[in-house]
Amino acid sequence: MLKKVYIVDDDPLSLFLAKNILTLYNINCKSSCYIDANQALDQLVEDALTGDLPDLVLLDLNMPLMSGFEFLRRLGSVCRGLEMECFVAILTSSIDEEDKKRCAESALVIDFLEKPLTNSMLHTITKAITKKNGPLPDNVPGREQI
Amino acid sequence: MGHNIQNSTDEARKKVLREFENLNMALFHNHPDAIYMLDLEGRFLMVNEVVCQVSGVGRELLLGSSFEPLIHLKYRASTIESFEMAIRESPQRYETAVITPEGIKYLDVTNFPFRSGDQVLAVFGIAKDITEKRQKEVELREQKALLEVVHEEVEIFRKVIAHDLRKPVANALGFARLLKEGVLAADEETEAKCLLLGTVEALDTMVRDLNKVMALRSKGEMAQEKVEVLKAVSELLISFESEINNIKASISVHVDPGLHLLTVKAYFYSILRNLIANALKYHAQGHLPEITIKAWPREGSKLAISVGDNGIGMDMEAVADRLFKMHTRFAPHMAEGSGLGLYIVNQQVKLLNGTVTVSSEPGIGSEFTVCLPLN
Repeated sequence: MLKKVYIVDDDPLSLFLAKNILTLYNINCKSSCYIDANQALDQLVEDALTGDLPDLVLLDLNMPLMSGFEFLRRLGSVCRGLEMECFVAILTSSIDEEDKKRCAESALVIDFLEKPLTNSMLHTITKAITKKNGPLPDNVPGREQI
Repeated sequence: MGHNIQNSTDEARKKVLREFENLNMALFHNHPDAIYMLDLEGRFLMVNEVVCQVSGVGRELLLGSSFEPLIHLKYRASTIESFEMAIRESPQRYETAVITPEGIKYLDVTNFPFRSGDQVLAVFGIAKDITEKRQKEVELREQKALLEVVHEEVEIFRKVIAHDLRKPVANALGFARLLKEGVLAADEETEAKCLLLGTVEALDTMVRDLNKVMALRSKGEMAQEKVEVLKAVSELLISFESEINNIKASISVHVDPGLHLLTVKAYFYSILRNLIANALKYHAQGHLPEITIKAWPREGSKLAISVGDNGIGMDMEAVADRLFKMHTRFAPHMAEGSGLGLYIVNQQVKLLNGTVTVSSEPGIGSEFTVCLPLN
């Protein structure tokens, strides 16, 4: 079960939706919405320092000020610097295969989801995270190559 | 030549020579290309019928006069140089153009010296009319350039569909599913319904914009008509009345009552509508929006019209080269932009042979100035 999730999206409608769908199926989930990707990045750094990272970051790609790709690049170097792990799932309205390929290059990205968010998507992601966090040792090699 | 025909009688030798001359003349006259002989000053000594046809000048006028005045000014120097090289050195092949009553014709010319012993007596010339070939090449190049543009636009269209158009569809789907679950609290449900409506409206705007872009591509020659600038501005402002009231914007208009231009009315209105809509949409929080619309005549029989605002503005260094492209949005926290508005403005201004310029600063505002020919 997801307990803490950040949603990063420049579109207030998408934030409203993702938040509501998320809490609909994960009743105890604490979700925070970030319309400003910079703020989300700052918060993640702070969380890393206090050891309170979210279980998952849902990230939009097509944002005018800082694109999702730029966010991933910056988060990647933060993660390298602090030797922390952070799971990101892309949540985008894009159905562009190129975007999908580009995201797959980032080691942070555990899934590429096409909006709107559904329960089965959340289910798959929860399973993927449990698998990664469970039997595997906490630092997976190759994870730091963004 | 006579030396080669040994042991012949005088009569037989003369006959062969005559036949050979006849053959030469037949070749000269019936050859499909223009054939001519020039003296060392460039005056025509002999011309075949094709020379007259290509140049559109009669044989009597051509004979004894120089080739130079026939040559297009742009090619004159290079043609004379090639002609002189043919006298001094070796055969020359070059392209040139002649001015004829039927217009400019392009020629592929070969010049070589006509010698007797060491002495050059004249310059022989063969000119092939390559006008049609050249035109086809130009057309081909134009077609290719056009195809490249179309190809690029198709790719952008694909991107618009994959990203921009997909976005409101995804949102609408999300809202509809959320509402179907029937688990929202009453106030949340009302909000979700309003948001669903807004999303579908945004989708509608985008589909209409896309159609407009398509229409710009497939447009024929549009009829021009007289447009009164002040009347156009007033009419457009009335259509924006509710938006203006909603954000309490103050609008000042500085347009001389008599100012008018001859233009494609639909484009002119569309350009202004887009600019005013942007000025209203991207207003800043914290102070009341002020929008200034000005129009004035400009040198070179042009009309300038500007729409300025004190809105959120843009960082021009960051956005300048992408501002008028399809599929770009700059304003943060504004999901409703289709990313097509300024692209459409730019295309329409181009079609009207005008220009559009922008000055903008974040937190200060933006000013778009369109310059159009008065007629």
